[in-house]
Amino acid sequence: MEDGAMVRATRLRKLYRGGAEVEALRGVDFEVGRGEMVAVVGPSGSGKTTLLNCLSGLDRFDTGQVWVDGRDLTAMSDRDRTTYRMRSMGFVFQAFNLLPVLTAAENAEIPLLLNGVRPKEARRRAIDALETLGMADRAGHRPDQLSGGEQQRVAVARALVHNPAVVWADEPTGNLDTEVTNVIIELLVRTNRQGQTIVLVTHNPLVADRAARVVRMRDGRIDLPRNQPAELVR
Amino acid sequence: MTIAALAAASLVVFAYLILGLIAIRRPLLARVAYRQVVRRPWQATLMVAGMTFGSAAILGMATLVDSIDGTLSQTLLDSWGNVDLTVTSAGRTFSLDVARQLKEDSAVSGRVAGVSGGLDLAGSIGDLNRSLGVPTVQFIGIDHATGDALGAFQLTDGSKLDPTRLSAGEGVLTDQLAERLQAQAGDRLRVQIGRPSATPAAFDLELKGIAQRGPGAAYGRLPALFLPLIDLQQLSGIAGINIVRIRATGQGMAEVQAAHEVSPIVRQALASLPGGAGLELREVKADDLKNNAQQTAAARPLLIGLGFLVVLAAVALVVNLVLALAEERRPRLAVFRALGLSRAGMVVMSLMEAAFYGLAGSLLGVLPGLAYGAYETIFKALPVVSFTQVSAPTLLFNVAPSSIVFAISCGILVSLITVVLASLRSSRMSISSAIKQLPDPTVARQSWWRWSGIAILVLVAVACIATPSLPLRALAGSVLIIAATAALRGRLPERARATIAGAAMTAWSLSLPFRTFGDFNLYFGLLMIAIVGGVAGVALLVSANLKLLERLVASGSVRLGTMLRPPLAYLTRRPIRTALTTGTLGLTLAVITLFAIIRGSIVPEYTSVSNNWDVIVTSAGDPALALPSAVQPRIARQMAITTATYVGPAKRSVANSQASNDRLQDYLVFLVLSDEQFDHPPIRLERRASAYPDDAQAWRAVRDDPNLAISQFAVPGESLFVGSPTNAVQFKSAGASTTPILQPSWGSWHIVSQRGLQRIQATGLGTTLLLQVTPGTDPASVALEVRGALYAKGVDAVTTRQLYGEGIASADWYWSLFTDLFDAGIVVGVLSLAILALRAVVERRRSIGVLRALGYQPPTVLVALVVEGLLAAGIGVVAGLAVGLVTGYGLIVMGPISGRLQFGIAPSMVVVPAVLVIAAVLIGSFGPALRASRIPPAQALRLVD
Repeated sequence: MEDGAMVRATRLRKLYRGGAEVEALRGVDFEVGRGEMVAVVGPSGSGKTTLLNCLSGLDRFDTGQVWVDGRDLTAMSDRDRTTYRMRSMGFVFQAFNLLPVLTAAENAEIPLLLNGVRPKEARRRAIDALETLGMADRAGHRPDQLSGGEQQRVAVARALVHNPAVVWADEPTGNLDTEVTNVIIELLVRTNRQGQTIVLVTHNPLVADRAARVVRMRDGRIDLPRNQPAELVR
Repeated sequence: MTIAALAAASLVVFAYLILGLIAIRRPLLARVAYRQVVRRPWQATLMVAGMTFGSAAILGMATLVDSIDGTLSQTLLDSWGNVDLTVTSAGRTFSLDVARQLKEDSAVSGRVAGVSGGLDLAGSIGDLNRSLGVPTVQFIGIDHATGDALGAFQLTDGSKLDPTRLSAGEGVLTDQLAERLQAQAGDRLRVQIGRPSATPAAFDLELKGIAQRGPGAAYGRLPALFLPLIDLQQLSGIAGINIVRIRATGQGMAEVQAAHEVSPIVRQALASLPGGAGLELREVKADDLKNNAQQTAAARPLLIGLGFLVVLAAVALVVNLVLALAEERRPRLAVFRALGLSRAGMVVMSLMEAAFYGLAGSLLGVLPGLAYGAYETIFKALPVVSFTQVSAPTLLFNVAPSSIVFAISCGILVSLITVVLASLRSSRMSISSAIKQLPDPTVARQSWWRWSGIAILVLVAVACIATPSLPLRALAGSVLIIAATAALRGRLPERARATIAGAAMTAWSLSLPFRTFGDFNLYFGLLMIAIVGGVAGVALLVSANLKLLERLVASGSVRLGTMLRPPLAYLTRRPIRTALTTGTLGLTLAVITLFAIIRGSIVPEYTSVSNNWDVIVTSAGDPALALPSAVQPRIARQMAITTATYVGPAKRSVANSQASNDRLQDYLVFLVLSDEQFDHPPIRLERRASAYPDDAQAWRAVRDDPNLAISQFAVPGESLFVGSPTNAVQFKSAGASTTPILQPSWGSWHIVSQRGLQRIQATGLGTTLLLQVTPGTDPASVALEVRGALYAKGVDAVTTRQLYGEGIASADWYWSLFTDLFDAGIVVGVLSLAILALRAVVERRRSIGVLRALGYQPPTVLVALVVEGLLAAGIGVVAGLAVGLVTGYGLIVMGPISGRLQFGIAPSMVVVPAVLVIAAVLIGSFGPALRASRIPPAQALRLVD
């Protein structure tokens, strides 16, 4: 793995079986630098989410290798991958995916508690994270008492609260209007500027434009336009 | 068809007609509802299963009541044979001419099928060939000239025997008496009747045949011996008769109706006879049937009401499922709403779906309901009882069509109502959020709706308070608490509000049993309100404060606290579902605990029942019975009590209560104590009238006042009326005991003084000997030896230990009727939890995916889900036990059955179901939890299932 690469995948191949066999990833090579913000774009069914899931260890793949922060995910057991996600990764999803029965603060502090931080300390840090995102006054509210934008800000706080090595964001603005989208993407960009590695999947060109690099996918492959370098650096 | 069944069936037909009309006008709704039913067969199966349990429980209990009712009715019809009307004289004898003149009366003879004079007495019998004896046998003397009124005996060898063909010196036994005596045709029988101021008369008979039950054939009410009137007159020293039996024309109920129509004519004819004015004509068969119907009608609401306990559990299950399904279908339903389906349309669609489930579940419930009824009546052997109950009676399986209609209709109605209420709630959604599978934003509801609801609740409470009904007024307290809780919404933190509401509901509900009421029905109503409110209160209180448990755990282990956070949050913040699940189990466990306390408190100690007597020797034929001299050295203490049997009309009634029996042809045993025996009574009292400060004074009062008695099964204030309505002798109960050691179980015993006995026309004098054996002597061997020595006198001897054991077995059989039903409630409760665990896998798929993505290990997910089920079950069990214990304690110390009862509990009745619940939940939730923990996080996070 080259110095400075936070995420690296080689010849990643993923098949979905069940009825007709679908090859979602067809030997993808992919790399994300440390502190880089990469946007993966492409039409529906191109394999963006599958790539993100495989890179983050949420899903298994059939062949190929993935390294994150120097650790080979391929060689890890499910238990080790889970532990690795707990310590080194943060996630933001399109549907926010906050636990509906927990308050904003309780949702945000889950990664800290999982990492063994004492409850009081975890709550303090969760409130700090929410405060950073302008959500401190909503810390005691449950998801059904928050707007979509507020829920996604809580999700971002949950993704960042334990200072993970990588934040994975799958369509983080898919359910939000333009105004709130700008707020969320601004948050991610600001975080990235502080050194946080971020990989996001999006359909939204406005969001993709804010990433340091945009990777296009089509039919399970990284799409390399003719006469274009493999990496599109903005 | 009963009114309740007709009303329920009409409502069902009406509801289906309306739904049918809507389906015709809006076929899309019906089509979608149908598709929802068939889309997930397992889900539909579970919904149907819930309602199957509910309607099966109702039908099972209804079948049980029908069977008991049918059996008793048939037994009564059999006991009277062809006899429909009787003429008696309050136990006194009168001339045989009355019967003969009545038969010859032209107005009567043309309208009835037969008139027969006879004697109906009690005595003892011994089979000299088999060396066995039975005391207290019904002797039915048949007049040769008119005996055909009884109907022909159906003999066990298949032949028939006309009663008039019984010659002098011949007798017929009923099969249950023959079984006890092991008698066979041709045996020599020795019959004996105790006569006052004379030596006991004995008479030998040849057993002509053994009669069995059959339509229209005479059988007798007790184990009976039929013999020629002349023989019985000679034996008893009675010249006349004490009963005229009249047979009406027709068969079955037509015969009963014919008897009713002819009775004024007979009464008129009777009045014109010399000496006939003081005689009483009674429609005995109709009276017995009416009394039986009243008794079962009184028991039916209680038993069917207990069946509704299972229905309540099934309702909780269905509501849980409906809410879970609504959550799962939310995006699809939101699309319908977006396309123009109104909220009412959604509710109607749910109703149509429920109409499928309700109909299928209720129809399927018929089979298990009947099976349950059949199990309780046919396959579960009734306990054997000693003394004259010579064989265990069997219940006849019987089910009224109206019971089936009622059960099916109730199942459907409960299903429809439950789904309407649940779907009203689930149809409230933010369409855009639901389509995107996002939580519904909290919308401040228009306060006037809330305040209108609160106002209605308050009005309902005030209306309940204004009524004289105590249960309704108790209910008003609960309603006011609910109204106050609703009014506090938004003014207090949710947890504080739930805690206050739970505490208030618990305190109010559990205070209800600690009020003194004499009326058991009212008190039972209060108990039910207390149990439902108490369980709801405790469940709410505990659920709202589970956060404390999380904090407690987290203070010890961060990891454990983190693991428990989601399950505790799901339980705490979904109060309706938690309350439904925990409430189902809690309610069932509370009722089980209450019944376990009643069972444990009612079952007396052996020493209390026996009063240290070891052996009881009984004879209804010898008032001066003495023990064989060979046995005497092994007897440390003995008491001989003179007994007398009254045969004739009698009734019991309780002061200030409408629950009084109609006057029936009865067989009462009176035990006459001497003054010394009153000073050292043979038994311990269980209850006494409040006028007497202690037992000794109650006994002395009976000694001194011939109007008083100590009676079996009596309650303070109850009176026994002996004789006809115009010529009744009243005995007021000064105290009571349920001890079985004094007399046979077929009739009640009454202890009176000698002067008390003189007030009635009692016959069949006998002796009850109470024996205490010397230390080291086996009471059973003494009983055996006495039986062997005195069988010819028709004497029976039995140990008090055996009687006590039989009493317990009898009670166990009775209680098993309830425990079987409660088990069904437990099964539904456990099923409910298992279904919730299953649903959790589907419903929380994405939440589980998130947790897995964030770092929850599969075993953690597994444990968290299992712990959630266990906690819900645990809360239910604890709430149920606590509420059951408190209400049970209230019942024992303050309720109408309080007094001499000691608070006790039958532990196995409670511990076994509680442990089984926990074990079943553990096993039931493990599979779904394991499945959930194994879902790859990426798969769990996908939007579409």
